[in-house]
Amino acid sequence: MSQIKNTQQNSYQGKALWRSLDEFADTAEFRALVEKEFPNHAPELFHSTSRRHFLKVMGASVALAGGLAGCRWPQQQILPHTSRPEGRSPGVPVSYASCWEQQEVAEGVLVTSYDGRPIRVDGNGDHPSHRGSTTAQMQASVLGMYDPGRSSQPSHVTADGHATADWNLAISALRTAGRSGKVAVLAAPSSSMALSAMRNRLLREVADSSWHEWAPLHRDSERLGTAQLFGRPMRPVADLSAAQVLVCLDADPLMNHPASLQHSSDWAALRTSADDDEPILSRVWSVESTLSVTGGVADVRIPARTADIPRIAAQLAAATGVQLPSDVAAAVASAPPSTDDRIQQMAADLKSHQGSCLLMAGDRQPAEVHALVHAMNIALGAVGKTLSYAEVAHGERPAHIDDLQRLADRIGQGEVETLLLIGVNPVYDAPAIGKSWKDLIGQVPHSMHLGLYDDETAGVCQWHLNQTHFLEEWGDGRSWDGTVTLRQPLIAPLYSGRSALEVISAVVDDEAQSGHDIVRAVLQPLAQKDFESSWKEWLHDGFVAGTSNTVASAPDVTGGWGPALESTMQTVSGTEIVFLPDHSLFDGRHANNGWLQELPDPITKVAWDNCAVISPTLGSKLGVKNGDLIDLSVGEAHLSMPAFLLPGQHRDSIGVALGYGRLISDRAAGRLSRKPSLYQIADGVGFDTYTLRDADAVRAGYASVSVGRGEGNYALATTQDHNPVRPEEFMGDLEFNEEQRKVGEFVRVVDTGFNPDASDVKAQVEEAGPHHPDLESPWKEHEYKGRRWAMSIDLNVCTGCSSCVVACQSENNIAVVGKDELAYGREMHWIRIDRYFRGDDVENPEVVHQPMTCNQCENAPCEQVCPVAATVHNEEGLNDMVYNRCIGTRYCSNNCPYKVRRFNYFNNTKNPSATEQMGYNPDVTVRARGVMEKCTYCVQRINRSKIKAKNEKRDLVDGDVMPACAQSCPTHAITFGDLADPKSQVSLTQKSHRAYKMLAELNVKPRTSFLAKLRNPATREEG
Amino acid sequence: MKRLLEALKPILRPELTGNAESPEVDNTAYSPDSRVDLITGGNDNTTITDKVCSIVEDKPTIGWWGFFLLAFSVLGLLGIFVPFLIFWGVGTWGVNNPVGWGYAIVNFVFWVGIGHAGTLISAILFLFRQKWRTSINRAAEAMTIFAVICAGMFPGIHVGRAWFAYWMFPLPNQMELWPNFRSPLLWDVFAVGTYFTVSLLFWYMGMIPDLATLRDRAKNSVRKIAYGALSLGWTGSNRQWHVYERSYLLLAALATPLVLSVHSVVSFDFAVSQVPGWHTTIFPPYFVAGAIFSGFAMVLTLLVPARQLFGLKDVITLKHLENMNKIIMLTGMLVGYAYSQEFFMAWYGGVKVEKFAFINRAFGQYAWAYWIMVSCNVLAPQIFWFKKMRTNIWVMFVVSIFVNIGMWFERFVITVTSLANDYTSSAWDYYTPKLADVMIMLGAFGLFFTLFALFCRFLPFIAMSEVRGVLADQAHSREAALARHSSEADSASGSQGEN
Repeated sequence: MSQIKNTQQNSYQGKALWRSLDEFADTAEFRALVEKEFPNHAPELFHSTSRRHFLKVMGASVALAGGLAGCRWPQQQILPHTSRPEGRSPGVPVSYASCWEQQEVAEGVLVTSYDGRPIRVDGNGDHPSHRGSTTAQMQASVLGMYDPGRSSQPSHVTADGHATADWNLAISALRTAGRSGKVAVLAAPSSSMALSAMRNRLLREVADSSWHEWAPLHRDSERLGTAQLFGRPMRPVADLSAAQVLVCLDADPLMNHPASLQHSSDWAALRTSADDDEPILSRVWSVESTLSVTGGVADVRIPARTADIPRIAAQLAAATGVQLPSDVAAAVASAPPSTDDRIQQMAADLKSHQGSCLLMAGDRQPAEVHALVHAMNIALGAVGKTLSYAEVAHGERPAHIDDLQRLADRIGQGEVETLLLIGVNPVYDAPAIGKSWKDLIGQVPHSMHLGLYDDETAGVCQWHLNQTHFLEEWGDGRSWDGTVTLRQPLIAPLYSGRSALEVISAVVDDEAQSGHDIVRAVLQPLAQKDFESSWKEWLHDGFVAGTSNTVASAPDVTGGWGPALESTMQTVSGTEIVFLPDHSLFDGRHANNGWLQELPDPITKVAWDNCAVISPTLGSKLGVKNGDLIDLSVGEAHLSMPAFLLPGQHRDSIGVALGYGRLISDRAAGRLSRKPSLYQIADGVGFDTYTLRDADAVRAGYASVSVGRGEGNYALATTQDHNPVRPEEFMGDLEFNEEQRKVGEFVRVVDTGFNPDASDVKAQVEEAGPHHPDLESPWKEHEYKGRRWAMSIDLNVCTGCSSCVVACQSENNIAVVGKDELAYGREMHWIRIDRYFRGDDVENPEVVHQPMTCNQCENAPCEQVCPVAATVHNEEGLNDMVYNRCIGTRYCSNNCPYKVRRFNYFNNTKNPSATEQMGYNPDVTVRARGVMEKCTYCVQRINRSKIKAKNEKRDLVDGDVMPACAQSCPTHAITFGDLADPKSQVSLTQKSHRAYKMLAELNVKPRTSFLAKLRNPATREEG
Repeated sequence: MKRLLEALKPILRPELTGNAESPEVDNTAYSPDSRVDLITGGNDNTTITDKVCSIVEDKPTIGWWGFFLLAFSVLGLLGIFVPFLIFWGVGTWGVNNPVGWGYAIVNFVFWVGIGHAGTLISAILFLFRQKWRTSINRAAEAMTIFAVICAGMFPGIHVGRAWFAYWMFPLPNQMELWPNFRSPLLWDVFAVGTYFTVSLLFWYMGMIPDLATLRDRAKNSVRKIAYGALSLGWTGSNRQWHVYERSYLLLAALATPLVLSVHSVVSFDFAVSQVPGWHTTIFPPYFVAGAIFSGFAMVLTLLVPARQLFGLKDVITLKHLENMNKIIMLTGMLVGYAYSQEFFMAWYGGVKVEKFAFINRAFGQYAWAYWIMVSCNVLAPQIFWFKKMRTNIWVMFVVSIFVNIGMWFERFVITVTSLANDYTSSAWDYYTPKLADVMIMLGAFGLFFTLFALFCRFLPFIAMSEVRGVLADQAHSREAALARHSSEADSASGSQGEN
């Protein structure tokens, strides 16, 4: 093997990472040796595509240059290094900055890569637009990349049916079709500058080409509304940390908003400040039809039909009496005065908090309502305080639905020879424009689809090309405030896919450029100094500093949209249906992600399904219980789906989540005549509510619906309240519930004002709990001489967003069990979020969320009953679970008062696919069947931090250890640290006047404290 | 039913038709004057021996075959579902996150409870010189052994990794890993293990003289060798009897505390935990009473048909059955009292969750199970206040079945309702058994009845040697009564003469 053939010495070029000279020279002997030793080695090693080859070189050279880029190293997976490249330690995870994009907004992320395999996505704490936290969807994107159900190769229609193809064939087809003119592109909107550049090139270089954009969930009305008000589209950048009064009109800034992470963090600042010396508590008003996450944490929530919110906005504007353009003022004045006291109180709140208030409108509200809201914000002095505006690049676009109309018209007129669909799925999620999109695409001579999945749209196109996942590609994007954010690949494409940039380049360039080159070329002008060093810095940071395009002062306000506003205020009677983004699947793009499918909805707690959310009143009117099917009809479209009776839902409104009822594998099965893959988990899950959402509904944000009781019922799987909630029971049992379920003791809520009084709060928090003497153990207790790990969970800022649930799942290799097992009560989540309703109004209860995970009791009841001592205490107070020793009596789970232990009833991790295995966190044991598991306070992170500190010859300091849940939490509700250190954050929070321990009267001595929730209802006006 | 039995009689046991047809003798009348006969039908030592031995020595009847084959095929369910369970995991059961224990533990406690009557009859009644025990103790002890075998199976298969269930035993190992001696489950291992060992010894020792009888009567060499080996060289010498009776007494004294301890320890599984509805100090006596209650019910369930089939009506007489019914009524009221005390304590204790647990038990999602339990355990035995009822074979048989059902539900109610709705209401769920739960439960009954059928066929069903003693006593007391009667007559006439 050490022989080197002289004849090949000249070819010692190109490989940057190698283990021996033979490999470097790629000799026949070396190949034979590898073949003999590793019969199933990856053949790509020797027959790599040019792209893979490029990435190898690229990744390696950047890595050698400064460890900036992370790519999979196929070589290293097969044979170990003989000499370790500088800057790499096997087994030591490395983080790289990249970005994730949804709804045209990029979020900076830090991706942890373990020996070349990305295993975690966390927030980029350095990024100016958010604070290092993540959403559940971002966390789950790792699984999305390793998804074995992703499309793995191009395929196309041939004379005798369908066939798979290689990328060379695909590219030549793309080039031929794309260059012949009459090209239309339907792409997902993106903030990427590189994509924008490629779009311009395509429009310029290809004759008769047009570019259209479609996203089923978009923020058009905000863009168009600001354009009406200011003459050009502006993006409102809110600073909730200054908004003492926040009014959300159908808006959900804490969850379904591209800047939800930033909003959450800012909003929390005014909730936790209740602990300060000069306590301030914000007040959140929410007007909405279906309980949203923001509505759940609102201090005052007014259920209203989505259709009625424009009128409420006008009434509010009238009650506030702010200065508006004359035609708008006339329109506002035309609204019938409100009879609801709460509107007056809201107006009073706004007036008394000028400069520290903010109004937000949701994206289902018409553009005029956005215009009105911004006009009010300006009049109330919000700009510069709680609000600033950013320029929107590429903002002068028609609304998405109009763009879709334009494309349909062009297709209808025969102006489209080639239709290129980039990352969109109109067959599934777009409303029919005259004809269904299946028929429209069928009319086009050449149709090509680029997407992550061989999905509904791919099924009707002649070509399907497999796209790269965002963790596999180069790219860029702009964050909510406009900061340019970079995307770099963490791994070579698992299935040799190509990015959107590369596919467009294949059309317009004679030799297709790599994504890397395209992005570099586009970003080059941004460099202030030497480009190479800037580039390195950007890659390292993940963003280009100082590129935020916010404007300091308020733009000029113009009127002229008053009549339009007035028309939105028309009263529509009857029941409406509102189409909501799913909290997990968004618009359906994450439907094949097991973590997200299994993630219970923050409000309904239903997993693996969507349902028609109706009010208990409507439920009893129709005579339906949870899970009973109801028939919904919008125009000609009908859908029968299970009802879910949600307290707080407006009685004349039905909320349905989008994104379910996918048919990914149907297409693959029909077209490639193969069996439906086991990995197409999205298929048949839930109900396709897009069928009810016609173009008018997309425009209006709601639709009129006729609803009736359907035939039969459907099993919904929930992780909580396994028994159906009947309205009469809810009302009748409320006192009983409060009394017996001890909910009031578990989640202590104190009603207070803008300036809570600490001693009063403390008294009320204590009053809420049971009184018991100081409890002594009859036997000698553990002594803790060293560290004492502990956690505090602030209920006041927990929004229930469930990011921690997926973060924990990703960190701790927690299995997905599927709907049936989940319905059986066998979910495996180590942290769950308990949702309770509070108050006696079933039409409008308050919502309280309580994240619940192992409390690491010092006097742990689970430990005493295990017959084999498989769960024991360690010297730092952690309740350790010894998987190897566990025989599975489940006694510990029975004896756990918090019910946080999870048992492997089946072998949940049997035969994971090859790619899924790559996504496991190697620091955490993958549990087999028959053993108990539970939260460990991320003991692997504690140990890693300890080792790191020891290597650096220092002590652990507060903040060194951060469990996955705490790290991901957008509101930083979870604090973790060492109780032995009196100055640690957790010591301080556990001493807070709001701190209490749940079920402390059992003498289990939990290490986790909860911080009581404070509410600032309008009835408790400060004197 | 009666007519059916009449019709079946020749098939069931043709050679004993005469015996079986002998009318039920009512020996339950109370007489302050003399003791009633415990063995009726004018039996003597020879007829008793013949009768009992013939069950083993004669060809098995169609009835026995039918019973055995039925039981054996039900046992086959275990053969199917236990491997299935071990192969796929306990997820094949209906257990879930709040309800970690389901049918397996219910069945375990149920069978341990059944296993109580045997030792109670053999040990405690022996110490109290209750002669009526002799007719039923052998079968009751056998039942105990088999019930404990059924019970012992469940903890083994209910764990998630059945192949490591042996880690519950304190086996020395190089890692010095010992079980957790604070865990009630470990106490269970010792309590049930001890109970099984002592019960088995007691049962076997009691059988030695009878096995020797069978050996002596054996007509083929297989029997000779088998019973010869089992009877351990018993000759019936005076010295042997002396030693035997001493040691039997000692074993009885040793077994007596076990009757109380084993179910107390089983109840600790619940009482030591902190689950509301489990965490109650009343559990040990309540469980022991319940265990005796269910044990006697099961003895009745077995003996009522057995005495009919094997023609033992004059050995296991109405008097015996009535005595057992009285015990069932007593213990039934004890458990009823325990049920009411649980409610009282829940209210008196003032612990919210405790209060909720019991209200929920009676009126919550499992109210149906609770009321089945109360009806079967508290209401059904009340019929025994009437002598006519407690001496009626059919009534007592039906009540015994009710009590078996009720006691199974008692364990279900305790185990499942408490777990399904404990402290954290967000985690509440409903437990629904799956097919494997039901099949393994039935399979355990199959195992129990198969073993019992084999016992009837191969071992002496009645403790012959002890019954012979009772016969002697009976004869003696009859003579004494006669003598007393005549002497009274004499003295009466004498005094008359004097006057």
